[in-house]
Amino acid sequence: MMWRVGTVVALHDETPTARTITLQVVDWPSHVAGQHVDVRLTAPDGYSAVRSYSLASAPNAEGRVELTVERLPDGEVSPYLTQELAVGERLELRGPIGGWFVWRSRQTEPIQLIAGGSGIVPLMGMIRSRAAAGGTVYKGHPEGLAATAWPHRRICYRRDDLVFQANPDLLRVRSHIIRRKCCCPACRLREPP
Amino acid sequence: MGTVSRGFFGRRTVADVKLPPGQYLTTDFPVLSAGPTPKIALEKWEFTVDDGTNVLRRWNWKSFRELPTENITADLHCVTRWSKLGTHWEGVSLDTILGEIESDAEYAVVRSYGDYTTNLPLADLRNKQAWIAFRFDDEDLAPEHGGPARLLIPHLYLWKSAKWVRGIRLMHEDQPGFWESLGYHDYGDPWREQRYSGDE
Repeated sequence: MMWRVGTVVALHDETPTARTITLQVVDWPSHVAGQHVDVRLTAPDGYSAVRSYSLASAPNAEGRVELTVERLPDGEVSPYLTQELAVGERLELRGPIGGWFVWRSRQTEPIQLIAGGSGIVPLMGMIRSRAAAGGTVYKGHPEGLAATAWPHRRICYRRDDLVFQANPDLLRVRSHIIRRKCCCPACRLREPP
Repeated sequence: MGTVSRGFFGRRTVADVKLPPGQYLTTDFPVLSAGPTPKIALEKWEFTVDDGTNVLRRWNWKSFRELPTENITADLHCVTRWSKLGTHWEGVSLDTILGEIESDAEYAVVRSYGDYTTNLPLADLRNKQAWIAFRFDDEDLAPEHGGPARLLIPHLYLWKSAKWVRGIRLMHEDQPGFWESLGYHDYGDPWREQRYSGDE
């Protein structure tokens, strides 16, 4: 599987510890929601470190790839990706990887999504794929999102609020398990701020 | 060298620890499963070797536990990039399991409760490099780590060490297992970094 180079076109802090990195990748073969990529960082002396990150973006034809990375306090790669990386810089990645934990647009059955912490990232890829496929396609089959989050480890994707407000059939929260009031778009829909 | 990441210097592994390429050391024991953990009562547990047509050998838990066991110290390398060194297991060697079986099969599919499968060349199961393990760190193997018993084949990536094993099917042709059908490498040697299908 070949390494590709993506250019960072946008950075967005989802939470104090999680950042979404938007990459423009030439000849990206597209992906299926739920898949991940390997990201490789290389130091000036040639030392490199590779980690896997879930794709947060829906498949698209524009070669645009979004990763949401949670910073681990003792991490080697995630602190760089969430604190050092700047717009305009280049990042090596390969993928998409994984053919099991995926959602394909032909799958129209209702689904229940349950995540903890940064585990919400691949699920957002699935929800965004459903939104992109057209909310009415799945009318009557709203998926559920149960987000388990910690006060300091919650990824909210507030920017998706408008998408969900425009597609009320797309997403329905069946349950959520949190320690404090949740800020995810699904919960915000149910309890407007 | 690929694209240099400006401002990245990395955190090198301690020099005396030798890991396969692309792996990092953990002292934890992460759990990754593709489905729910099956509940297997010992009185219903069985382990078979078959050739696709006939069952060649069959053990229940009692007869399996009467087989001679070995203590194993092994390094584990998961394709998700963590490695855990010097783990302690007790298990039955596959040389014991396969010892009396005559077959000209060259491949095997290891089958699990919960329908997980993984494929291997039969030669990799022989010659003191694979076990059916049932104790970890002097305790019965926990269900989340594959209990009552799992395959332990530490010279390959850990997805080959199938949890909750129930049998081995001897094959004349190689047939990809669960992950091998979903983009992962057919053989999975961590020292040659055979992670994904298409890796050399």
